[in-house]
Amino acid sequence: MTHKQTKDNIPINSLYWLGGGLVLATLPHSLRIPFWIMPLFLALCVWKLYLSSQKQLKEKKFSATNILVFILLVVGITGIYHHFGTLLGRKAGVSLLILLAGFKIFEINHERDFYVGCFLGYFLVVTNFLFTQTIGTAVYMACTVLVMTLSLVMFNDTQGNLSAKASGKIAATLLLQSIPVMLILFFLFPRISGPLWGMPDDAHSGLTGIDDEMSPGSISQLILSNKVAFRADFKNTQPEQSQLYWRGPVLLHTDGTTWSRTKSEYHGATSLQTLTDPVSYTVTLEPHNKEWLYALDMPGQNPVLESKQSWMTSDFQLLTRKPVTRRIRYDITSYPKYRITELYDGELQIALQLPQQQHGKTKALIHKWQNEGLSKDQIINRALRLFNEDDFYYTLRPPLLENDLVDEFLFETKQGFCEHYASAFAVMMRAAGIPARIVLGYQGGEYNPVGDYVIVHQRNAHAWTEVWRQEQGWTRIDPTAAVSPLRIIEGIESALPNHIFNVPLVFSQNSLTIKIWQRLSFRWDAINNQWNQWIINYGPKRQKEFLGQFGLQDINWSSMIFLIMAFTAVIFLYLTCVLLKNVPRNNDPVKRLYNQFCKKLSRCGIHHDVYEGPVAFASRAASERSDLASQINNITDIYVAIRYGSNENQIPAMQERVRAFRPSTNYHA
Amino acid sequence: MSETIVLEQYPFSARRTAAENRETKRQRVYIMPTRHGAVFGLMLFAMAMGAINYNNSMAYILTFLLSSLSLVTLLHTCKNLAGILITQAPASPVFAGELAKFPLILDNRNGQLRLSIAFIKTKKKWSLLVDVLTSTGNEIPIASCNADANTFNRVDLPVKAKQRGLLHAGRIKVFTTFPLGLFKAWSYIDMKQPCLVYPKPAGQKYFPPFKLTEDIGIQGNASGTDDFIGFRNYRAGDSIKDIAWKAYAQHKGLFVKRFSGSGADKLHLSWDDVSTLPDVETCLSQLCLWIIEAESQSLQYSLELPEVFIDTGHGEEHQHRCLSALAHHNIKIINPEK
Repeated sequence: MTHKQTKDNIPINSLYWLGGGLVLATLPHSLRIPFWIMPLFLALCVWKLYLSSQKQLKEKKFSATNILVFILLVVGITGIYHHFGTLLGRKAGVSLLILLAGFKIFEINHERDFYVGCFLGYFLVVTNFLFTQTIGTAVYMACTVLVMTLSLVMFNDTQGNLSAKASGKIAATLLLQSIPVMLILFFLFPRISGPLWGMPDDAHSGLTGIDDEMSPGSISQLILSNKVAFRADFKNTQPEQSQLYWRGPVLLHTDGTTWSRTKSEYHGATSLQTLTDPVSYTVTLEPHNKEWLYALDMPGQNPVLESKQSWMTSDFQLLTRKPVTRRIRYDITSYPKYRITELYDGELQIALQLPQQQHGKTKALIHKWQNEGLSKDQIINRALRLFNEDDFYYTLRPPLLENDLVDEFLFETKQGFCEHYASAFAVMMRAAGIPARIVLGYQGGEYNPVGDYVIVHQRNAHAWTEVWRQEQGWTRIDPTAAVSPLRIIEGIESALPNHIFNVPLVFSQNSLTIKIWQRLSFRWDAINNQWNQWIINYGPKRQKEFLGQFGLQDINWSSMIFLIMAFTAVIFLYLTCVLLKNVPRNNDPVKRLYNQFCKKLSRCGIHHDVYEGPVAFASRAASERSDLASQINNITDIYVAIRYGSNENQIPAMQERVRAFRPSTNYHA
Repeated sequence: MSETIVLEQYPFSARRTAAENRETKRQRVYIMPTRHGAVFGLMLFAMAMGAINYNNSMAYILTFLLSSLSLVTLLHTCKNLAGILITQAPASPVFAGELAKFPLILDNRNGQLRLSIAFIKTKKKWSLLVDVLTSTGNEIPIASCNADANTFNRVDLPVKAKQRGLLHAGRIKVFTTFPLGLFKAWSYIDMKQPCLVYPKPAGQKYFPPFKLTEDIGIQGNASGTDDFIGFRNYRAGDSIKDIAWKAYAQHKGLFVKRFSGSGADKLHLSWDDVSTLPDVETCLSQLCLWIIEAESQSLQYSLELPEVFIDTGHGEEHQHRCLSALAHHNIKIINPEK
């Protein structure tokens, strides 16, 4: 159905704003999609706006422009397919959507096209949230939604006399009035866990975190990342900094260069001998796309997750069936002092594996120590003393190792990061016949006094070892502590330069400004944490907790829907009252005073008729009530003087007279 | 007597507001989503599916914000129309074939600007049912306007006057989709006052011969003797003594001097002069044209129709009487419904 009248009748102003909104919605995508889509999109927008500003545009069905645009569209779609190998998936889908939005803008000729363009814009806003949901993104997208809504308001102002500011005000009013119902829907809408259907394969790429293998450099890469790994909220007391060993994957196999997990060797949990009181805390883990969780050494039991299965292995790794692709929250209990003496068959044999042909010098050194008659415990101490007393350095930028990593590190460069020390120590132990394994995870964390929780950043990534001792069982030994005790006691922050923490230049001048900066960033992190807890992470479990605060633990779907409808109805009625009530606005104080005067007279039976002028009314009233004549005439004179003589300064006088005017109702002429 | 229509506002319709007086009639305001609103709903559904699938809180928030926005918009669209007082003002007569303009006075007395109020003609029968079912259809308004706060606003509804007679605008639907175009709020105005449509001025015939006036007794070469009032083109039968010979001598053409007074040109236009024409409408058109010409030439003219006689005269009022007599000749009420 075509309507000639609406053709080319799109107000150019609203088109500008729609274009602006679409550009705003697509801009954050520009780095995620093939580089040529954004320029093409912008070119189409500019071209359309140029064409629209040329008034006398003859429209033909098959003009050269239309054919060119069609070819461009086909080429564009082919290009996207070529780039991604598919048109589905997150990034390919977004690219396609942006391309289509560009062409939609270009062909806006009808009213319908404008709406489709606008709705596409709203949809593009949503696609941004698939990539990031930070507070910044939310604010930015709120502005985008405002601009889109503004363009709709402008488009619907067919008389075209609303300014951008006035339209913006209307759009903002509409959006602000929408917030109450939005909040109700957000908190009460029944949440379900798990996807309705599959997610695109590329939905979770680009997440950072500890890998399940370790080679030199793999952790020092992470150290430079300022991203949050997880946050931990301790229920009671918080252990000391040096006790904060957040356990991740356990590595058992080495090929001389790389340590890796042996996935087949998972046995059921072994029992833990606890020596102290438990420490309870809640972890909010950022997505890291790996199938394990983090907990303080040593976790007592696997946590209960809302959407995933989890279990604990015999070496106390907490595993999940599927990678952690969204932020999860779990309560867990750990025992800082423990003893693990129970073993499964062959566990120690695996923990002695070493590559045959490598680490010759290291093996020779251990042999020498053994020949000196050192016991196993003495060899452990000797090795730690070697790191501590010899010329070993803890550095972020160790020299490159080329051949035998352990030998070169121990006997030549002597500079390394935690992964160097951990792997060298584990090799030494295994060479001495002491079962050893490497544990990856995080050490330390930053206490946030604003939110009263511990933030663990990627820069806290760490590697340490565990060795088997006859009496004590598996014992944690952190060789890095032997080299750089500060690293463990005060945390990685003391061992790293300021620029790692993104302290801006302005703040990095002296320690006070750095403190201020830290304070600010704690505040910001606390806000972010609340945002994540309450908004981003608001799922079925959180919803249950939230509703539980109001005594609605066991609320079912139908009750939730009922609650939504009830609350929405209340808000809707309230808004209806506010918006549609016909309040006769009497903002004229003089008129109001005069009305009061008339009302007082009408109580005495003298009614003011609509057609009656004030003077005529006064003379009639005065003749009926001769006792009030002077007052009536006085008030009327002032009223006339104000009304027709612009003597506004007499308003107080009139107010006084009207107040003092108290006619008695029983009068008999 | 034209009545004032108050577009009712829920839920406060039960109480009479101060703005109403006895001559007002209440008219309900209806609201339905437009087709853009329906598409918007579909988009919201898709968004909700995405939000649930990805369990994405911000997607939830945006979906809920936009759903809530459509609720709020519903109220605002209703608000844009409700509470307005509409009165029909008399329409000026037009000639058949022209656009008749039906003026409406929008009395917007409750302090808020109302934007983009549109008008469209609608059928009286089943109008509500049809409008509810076709609310998603696209409508091209015949007129639209804004109503400024606390003032009277005038809007002219153009309706094509196809035939002479009385043109009834019938039922007018007043609607608005402001602010977002997702909902359409509408109401009805039954236009009570018709617009008078004169016949279309047309024809080839010359004026009929001037009437013999009784006072002077000569064939109406039709000029008085008192004051000179101007020239007109010479027509066969004009008196030689009235010819402006001076102008003729200057090769300006043949003109006739004219004088005012009781002996001036008296044109008698009668049905008999046009009765040779094929049908009634053509006759009326010819008479109409003559009246207009006579008026523009400041002639005195009278009109005689089978059932009406309008005595000699001239001027706007006289012309209107003559033309409306033509319009009312054997009148059939032209009602768009029938």
